[in-house]
Amino acid sequence: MASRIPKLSLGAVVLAIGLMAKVLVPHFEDPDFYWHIKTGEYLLSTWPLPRSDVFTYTHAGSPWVLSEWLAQIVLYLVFATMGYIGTAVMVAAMCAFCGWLTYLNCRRQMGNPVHAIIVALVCSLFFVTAAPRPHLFSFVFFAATLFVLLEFKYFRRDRSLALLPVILLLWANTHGGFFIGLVLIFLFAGSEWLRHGFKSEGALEAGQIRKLSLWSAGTLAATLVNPHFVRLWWYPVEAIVLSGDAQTINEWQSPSFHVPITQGFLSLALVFFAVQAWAKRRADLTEVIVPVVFIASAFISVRNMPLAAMALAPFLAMNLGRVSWLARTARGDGEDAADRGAAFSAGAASRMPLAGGQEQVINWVLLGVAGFALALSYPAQKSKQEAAVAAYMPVGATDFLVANHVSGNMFNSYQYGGYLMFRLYPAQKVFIYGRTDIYQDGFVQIHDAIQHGRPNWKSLFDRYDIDYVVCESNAALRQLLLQEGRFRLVFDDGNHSVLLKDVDKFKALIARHG
Amino acid sequence: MIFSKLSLAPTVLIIIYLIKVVNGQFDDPDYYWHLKTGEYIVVHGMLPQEDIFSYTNLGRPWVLHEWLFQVFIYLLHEWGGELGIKIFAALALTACFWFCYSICEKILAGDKAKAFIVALLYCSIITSVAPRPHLFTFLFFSLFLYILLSFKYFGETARLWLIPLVMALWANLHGGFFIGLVLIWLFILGEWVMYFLAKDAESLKRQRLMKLSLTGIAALLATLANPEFIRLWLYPFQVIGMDASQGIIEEWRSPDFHQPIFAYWLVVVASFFAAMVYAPRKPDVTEFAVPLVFVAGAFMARRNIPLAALAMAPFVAAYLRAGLTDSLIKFLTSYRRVRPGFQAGVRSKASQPLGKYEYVMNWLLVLLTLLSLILIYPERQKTISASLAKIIPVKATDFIIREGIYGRMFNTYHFGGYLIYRLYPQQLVFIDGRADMYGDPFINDALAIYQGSSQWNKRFDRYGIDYVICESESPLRQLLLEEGKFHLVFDDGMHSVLLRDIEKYRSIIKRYEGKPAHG
Repeated sequence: MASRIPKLSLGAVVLAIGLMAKVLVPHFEDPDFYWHIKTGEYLLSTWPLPRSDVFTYTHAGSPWVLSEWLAQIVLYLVFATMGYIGTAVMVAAMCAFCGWLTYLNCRRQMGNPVHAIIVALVCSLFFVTAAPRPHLFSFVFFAATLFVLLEFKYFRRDRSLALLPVILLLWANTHGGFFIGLVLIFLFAGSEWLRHGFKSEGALEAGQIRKLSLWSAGTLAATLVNPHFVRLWWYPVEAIVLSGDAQTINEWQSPSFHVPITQGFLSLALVFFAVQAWAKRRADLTEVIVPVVFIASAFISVRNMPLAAMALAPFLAMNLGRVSWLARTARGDGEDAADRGAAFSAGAASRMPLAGGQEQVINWVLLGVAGFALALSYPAQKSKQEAAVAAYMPVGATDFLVANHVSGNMFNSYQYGGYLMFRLYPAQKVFIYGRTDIYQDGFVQIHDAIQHGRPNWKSLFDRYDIDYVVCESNAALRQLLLQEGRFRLVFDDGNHSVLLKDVDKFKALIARHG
Repeated sequence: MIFSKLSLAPTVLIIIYLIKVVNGQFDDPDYYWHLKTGEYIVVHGMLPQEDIFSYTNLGRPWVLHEWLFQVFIYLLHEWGGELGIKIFAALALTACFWFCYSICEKILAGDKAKAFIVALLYCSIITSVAPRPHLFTFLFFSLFLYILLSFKYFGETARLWLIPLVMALWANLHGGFFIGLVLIWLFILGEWVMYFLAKDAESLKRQRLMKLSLTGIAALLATLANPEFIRLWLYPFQVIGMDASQGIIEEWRSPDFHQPIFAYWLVVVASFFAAMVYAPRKPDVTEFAVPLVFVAGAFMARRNIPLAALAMAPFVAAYLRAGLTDSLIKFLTSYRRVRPGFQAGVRSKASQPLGKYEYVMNWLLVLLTLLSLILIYPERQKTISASLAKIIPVKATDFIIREGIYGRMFNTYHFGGYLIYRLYPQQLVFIDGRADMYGDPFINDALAIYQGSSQWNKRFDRYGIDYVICESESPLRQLLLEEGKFHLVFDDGMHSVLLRDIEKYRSIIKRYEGKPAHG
């Protein structure tokens, strides 16, 4: 009976359940999702690729670095053809792919597949915060790059190194985070060079280290294949350091460990070090440097947490296998990671069934039950997601603007920009939105001073001859404008407000809604 | 002759102490309301049971869990003034460093140089700390570590009696006393776990562990010796559970690793884990649990960083004693291309001591430092006062007193302590740093007013406020000026005073209308 049932491993079950669960939590309330969609739409409609900003009236014509053009086109095409559900599925599939590669990395280090699933699952939990944005491509390419490098290091699969330049070429055109891939590759290569140079145990041989170096150089060259050539290399510095993003944008700041997910990451990092301390065999230089650098990067910016989790997963798995009292619970007691890896690649002999022939039945039942439960919860999750979008994004306010044909120079809250662009462009241009490389001369700080009612807010506000404002109901600017009297409140849903300047063109609207 | 023998470690310690005295600052607003509370207790001879400093919460129950510190700091201030406070704060911090250094030296079997480097590396993260009750928490924590690690590594039980005694004091000095209990009980549990896991458990060890456990129980009971009795045990959990404490109080937030000091903290933690991983022997349960719990605590709230630093240092010393240096050298010099003399060079002992000339030089160094600091002290005080005026509304408060302004004030949360100090009992504040007393709802209300949130004016009007003292950058300032019911009468670019346009303030408003005072 069991042989007629299609084979379904526990790993595949966990992956499928994870994918389905992620579909329910796509995070469409992330404001950047919207301006990426709009940008993708715009890119497809114009050729050659535009070089200057078209979405703001404050920085119209400012040089525009197309660091994510390919991702934006893909996102737009998926959204245009399959809507929100298709986009949610795409996000889930990309996260699942990262989880799967992480599992493979762990599986090659651990004798027991269940242990590998647990480690990979724990490290993949951080994808729950992943939103439909180009950084998903960074996660995917990072997972792929790490997989290729680990296959090369532990199993000497040097042919797979040829994938690296291809990955980096795509990466450099999908997300500015491509430099993280270069950091990973060069950290890896650098530490392997040191190990080779000092002739440490298990170090790569001369021929292999040369191959690694050549392909690493190839990846650097591959990143030059982009619309901006070498200028793209400067983009990460511009976008992160010079723009002041690190000070103002939440995801670039250090994590607050008062939130469960970041506490989970902190626990994972501490467990990682604890396991290293108790492992029978000391980690080599690469096995230390790679995870430590990415863990540090996650402490510096919370957006790096999924990358750090992927980076430490295989090394955590490896060291768990080296802790003697844990290894005794694994099949293949006391085997070294390399031995287990050899057994894994040898084939089915190492994939011992966990529960006899009934494993397949159990797996299918598990999948079925989980799938059914998730399907049942879909309507509730959808409502929750819509409520989250309405809470964070000015959905109702934008409906009002569209319905009443409000036009002119807009002032908007920073995080509204993407959604407003999505809904209103080209009829309306925004004051500011989430791409920071186009803003110079402290523009973001000017916006902040206006939004938060600093002493010079009025002179700064008047500089832009603003006709209407879309902001949070709790924004100090809203209260200031109402107090001042030049603007009237015409829309307020408790979260978002629209204020119109008391001028002729808005008189009727003000009379109706003010 | 004994006193003439001043070795390097105490020399550096004295120098650090003197530098801390000179650089002591009073920019922490909480210091001020502690001082005022101490004054009240001493003058009235009783602990207030209800709030006396704010008009918004007047009569609300107030748990004084730091009364002993408040009395102490007030008496010290009366006796020694600001210099006395600085000396105490510097002494407390230097004592922390001394305990840390001493236990490291003990663990390292008298290797003073290594002990000093370890203590300095980890304790250097403890920079300037305000003269507040948590100084005692750091002090007692470092003392407990000394006693407990002396027990663990050397079987010493003679000083265990100090623990319950200190806990009784601690419970009346600072709400952080529970950290001492966490430390003690982590130790006890860790040592018992190892005892039961050990293959050859000795009865002598069991006896010592029983003594330690009884000490732990005594320490717990000792904390009941406080005005609130058992209610005090609930206090730490109430504070930790508050949302407002994390939103408004910076020291309760996680470290921001974009700031150099916290980036350094990350490096310090990394060095600890490197020591743990590369030590020739694996950490035992206590060596693992104790620093890890406090490191995790430091990631949660930056105010816990000094505790984590103090907790990590002695264990690093233990790893060094176990041969960490050799282990690291072996890890590095298994790479054979390293120069042959490298290993020998690293392992070679420190250069020969200078003999009695070393002590002379050390004394000279201390005296020169003292002289230099005495010379720069006046100028340094001017700089400190100037920087203090940027954070604390010194001039704004001078203005309020000078002009005889009175009424119901609205003040920024962080100003409350200083305003209590300068204006009580003539003036009561709106809010101050006693977040546990005010509670989340009131603090959120104050924040909503300050930030100009929706309905700010309804909330503001509820309190019948007469005048406002806030930062010049605050949205509330701009809102009140736009509204027109308040007039700006003082603004030094950092702090502002606004008066309501009512009869009692007319003359002041007329005097400063359009040209607010600034000094």
